[in-house]
Amino acid sequence: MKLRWLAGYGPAFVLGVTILAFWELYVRSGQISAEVLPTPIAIVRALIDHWDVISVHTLQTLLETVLGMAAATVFGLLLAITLEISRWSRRAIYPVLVISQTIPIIALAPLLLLWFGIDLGPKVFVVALYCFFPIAVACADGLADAEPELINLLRSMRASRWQILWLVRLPGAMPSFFSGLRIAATYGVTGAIFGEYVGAYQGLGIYMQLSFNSHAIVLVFAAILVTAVLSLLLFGLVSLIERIALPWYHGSAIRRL
Amino acid sequence: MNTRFRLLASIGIPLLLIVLVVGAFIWQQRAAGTAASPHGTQKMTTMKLALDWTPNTNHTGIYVALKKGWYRDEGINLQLLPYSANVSADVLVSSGKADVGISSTEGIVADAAVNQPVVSIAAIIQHNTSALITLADSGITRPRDLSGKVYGGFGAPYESAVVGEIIKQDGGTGQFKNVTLNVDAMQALESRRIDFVWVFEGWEVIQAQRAGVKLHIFPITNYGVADYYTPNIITSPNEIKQKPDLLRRFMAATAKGYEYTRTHAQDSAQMLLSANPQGTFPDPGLVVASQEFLSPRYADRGRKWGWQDAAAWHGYPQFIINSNGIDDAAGHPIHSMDFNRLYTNQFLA
Amino acid sequence: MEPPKLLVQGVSKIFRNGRQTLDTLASIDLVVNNGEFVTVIGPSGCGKSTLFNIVAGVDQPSEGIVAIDGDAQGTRAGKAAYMPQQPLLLPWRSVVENVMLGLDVRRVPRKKAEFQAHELLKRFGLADFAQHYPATLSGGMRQRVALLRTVLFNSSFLLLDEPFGALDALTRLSLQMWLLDVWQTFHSSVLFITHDVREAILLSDRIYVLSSRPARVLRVVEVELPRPRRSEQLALAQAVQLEQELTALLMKEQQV
Repeated sequence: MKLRWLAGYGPAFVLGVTILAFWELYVRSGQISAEVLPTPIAIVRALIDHWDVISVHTLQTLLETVLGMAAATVFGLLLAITLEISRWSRRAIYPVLVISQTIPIIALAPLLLLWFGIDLGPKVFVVALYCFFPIAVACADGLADAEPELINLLRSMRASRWQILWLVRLPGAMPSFFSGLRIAATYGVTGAIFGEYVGAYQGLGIYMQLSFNSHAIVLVFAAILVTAVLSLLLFGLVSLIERIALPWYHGSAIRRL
Repeated sequence: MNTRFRLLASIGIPLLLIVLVVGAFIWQQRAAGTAASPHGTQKMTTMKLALDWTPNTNHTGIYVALKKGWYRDEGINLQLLPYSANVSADVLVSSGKADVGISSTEGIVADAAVNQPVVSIAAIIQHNTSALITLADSGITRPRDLSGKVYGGFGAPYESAVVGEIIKQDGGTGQFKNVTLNVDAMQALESRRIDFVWVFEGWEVIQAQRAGVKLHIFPITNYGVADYYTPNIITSPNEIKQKPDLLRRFMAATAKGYEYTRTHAQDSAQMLLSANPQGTFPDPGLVVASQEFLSPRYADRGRKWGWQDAAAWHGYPQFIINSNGIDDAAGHPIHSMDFNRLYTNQFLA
Repeated sequence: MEPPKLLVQGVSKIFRNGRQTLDTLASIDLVVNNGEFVTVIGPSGCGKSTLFNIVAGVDQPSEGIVAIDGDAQGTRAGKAAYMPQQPLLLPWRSVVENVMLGLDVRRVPRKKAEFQAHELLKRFGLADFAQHYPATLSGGMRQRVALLRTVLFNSSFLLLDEPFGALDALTRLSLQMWLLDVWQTFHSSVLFITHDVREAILLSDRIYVLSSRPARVLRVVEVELPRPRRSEQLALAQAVQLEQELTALLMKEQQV
């Protein structure tokens, strides 16, 4: 059973190794300078050598990401419910939501710095800003998708609007919600790094900038590697929670504790 | 209940993750002893200084004063605000988020033009160390050969004017292609996609020398550009009005730091290195070499560090204004300015 | 004398959509007495489900009176247990949790609701499936669970809208017997919709035949077969004659 699960990732593994091998050879053969594109092996070695410093920045960025995503989830969920409850609010708010995603960080950064300062504030805000949208939209669509027949049934039982929301719409919207959450998880870490560009004492974004300014490109790539791993872990965590929350969605026959 | 349990677990796991991360963060901050702000003694006033770039040898005097405890002696708890790609030190200072900061003459002139003035209270380096450079094998041996070539700049509005003037002074047409870069200037140059860049002799040039890259160097003050101070220590007019005593004490400690740096290059370089987290300077040798270059140049021999002359504040600023390179807040080029308001020596001893 | 469980008098329903109007029901009269099993049959699309929606309180009649337990004024929602054509089990709830749904809406304490649901499952032979999810159940099983959910919500008055329509003949038969068992256990009053004449005859005390749209009552027939009903009774002369009569009536309506 475990073997089959592992085998499922076989092709991805092979593809990954192939790409890395090509990369290593491409740089070693001198086609491109190692100052511009370090080899995978050099990157991993640099990561290990500098782990004591990088781990500090990693933890900072992870903190920003996790807090920002928590805020995004709560806000996105509440927003979706609001959009569902009041149809006119949907027409009024939707365009504003879309616009909120198009504001580039260059414009936002000075404002954030002035309002929130240099601590966690602006980073959490940026992560929340870019993550709440997929969550809110996916969840709102899921809420609206509830079967009308089912709603009728509940109404025949004299269920109130809130009961219908709680008993039928929300649980039914969960698969969509998790869809949105998975998308948000992919962008969470990068969002935190963008937030750090606004101004920060530490964090992977700042580390990348420092390393870049000091011409230590291999460290920039090491930080990118950490970012990638963090994003994968977040993505995996969301999938795990989805499995726990929605066993019925994945065809689990009998309740498992 | 089954559903209830699943609901709790779905909320519980993320909460647990958050608690773990926050916990780990706080624990690590304590361990590193760099927790946010030490409560310290009541007497100390906290002061924020906004850096203009990632730490380099322009900033050494400040780090020396920090390390030697000279700010503490003046009752100042100095906090360095890190450089932000998106928000300049000028904005931080003029909005009051930082007490003091580091900027350039061009920056100060531009700030005054858009009505967010800052005041230079010290010149960190007395003579300008900027230079245009090309690769030695590019065949470009003097500024007039730069006509028609590709320049990799940093997106400042006055760049074109200054660079054009340098070329013209040497007899060239003054026309060239201006590309705003987001990559490292040296890398761009070495990629040969860019023909020339603007760098500082105290840093990039030394770095290139250490790496064995051969360059042609055109110091801008050799080609018709009036000498000017860069970088400068700035503060806001508000700060000057409200906290003159604090500024005086700050400058006392800072001047001490730079005076020490002038005469103790090696030692200061070591302090700059150790004051920053490991990894800030992957090439410590560069820091030392740069410091040895810069230390005698912070000010002319026999002159006190930081003092500013009127000439430097009229020549170059007028030049860039004349080139229509400085706009007001509405986007129209300005034609005159009261330069005397841009600087003051009142806090220097 | 106690009022009938359900009294429908002169009920009509017109749907308006902008300029268009749809005459769905034209003056329906119908009675269900306490403990009776009454069936409504009619051609497809004649408005049977609309009638049900009105009785269940989900919709309102354009004209006429609908009284449950003699009350024509109050809200009808919640007074009947409505089972629509699709079982509509909530996929995220287990079988026992689905059966409890009605009690959850009524805010009955969880433990009590779960206990009652379990008892019901046990009583009707479904206890083994209590923790299963609907996705793993067959069509017939799902209908049974839906029926138990309906009964647990309100056992006194059931509205069943073609509950066995989508099932194969054998499953349908066993479910019909099962339904009669449930009905007799709880002494419910039942209003049943089907387009299957045999099923109507097998299950009901009385049958109302509706015309095609706009629907009105064409015939009211009392089914005199003895209780408890068995499928063999459908072969009796009386039953056969009734079946032919009603089928002919329906076929005429179907063509219209």
